[in-house]
Amino acid sequence: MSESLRRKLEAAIGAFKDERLRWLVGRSEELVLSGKMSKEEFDNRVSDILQTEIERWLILNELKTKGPQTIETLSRTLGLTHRRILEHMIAMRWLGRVSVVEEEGDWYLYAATGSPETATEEETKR
Amino acid sequence: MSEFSPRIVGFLCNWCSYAGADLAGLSRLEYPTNIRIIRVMCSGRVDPAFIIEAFKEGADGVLVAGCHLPSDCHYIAGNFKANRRVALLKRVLEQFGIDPERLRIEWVSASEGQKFAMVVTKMVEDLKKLGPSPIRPGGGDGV
Repeated sequence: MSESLRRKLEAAIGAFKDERLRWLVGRSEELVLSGKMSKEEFDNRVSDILQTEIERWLILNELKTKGPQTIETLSRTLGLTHRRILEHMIAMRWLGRVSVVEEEGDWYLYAATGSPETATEEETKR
Repeated sequence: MSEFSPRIVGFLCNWCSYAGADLAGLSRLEYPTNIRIIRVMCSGRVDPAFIIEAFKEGADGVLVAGCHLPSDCHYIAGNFKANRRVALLKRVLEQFGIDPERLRIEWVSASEGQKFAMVVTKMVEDLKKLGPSPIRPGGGDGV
């Protein structure tokens, strides 16, 4: 329990580095008071972004600590569906945070490109 | 077996809450020694990562204290930002299975030494009821 919780907390630390999230939280009062979005809509939007980022950081931390892995393995370890991990992989490949290193049977082996720390910087440059 | 003694990390803003804590000390007010205070220039300076890191390192509770809403903040809106971040973090902690009551935000001015002592005392009592943080099962011995 404590180990999986520790992993989640580490992922949350990474997630809070996300520029989109920081911007949105920083503008919360402004956005809600201006009537551009309701408080509920704002909270849901932030929760979605946060959830996405936490999952991506969980994946990146797994790849960083245990080396290249398939979606199948990640799904078993993290308890996320294949589809959800595939969606993250597509997005993170586009962002340059992961890459396919080789094939293992029917599965691709994914690896983190650089450390997650530098991935965020690269993402910011894009 | 010794009684569980919670560890609390407190982020106190320089202008109001830290001065309030200082006043509590100067006034010889008694409050539990379970809190470890970190002085920050503004509650708005408290990055969510600081709070998560504290929990990751085994804190049973985290207190963020700043200047009263809406207009006491030395930097205009730092307390609003802190309030928003803490609300968001509470949702995240709940998702992770950490009781959101372990994270608190309080507004303590420089003249409220009494309030600071009460906040800490109440938080320690509540954390004792909640027990040790799930990140360190069986922990809680010593501060």
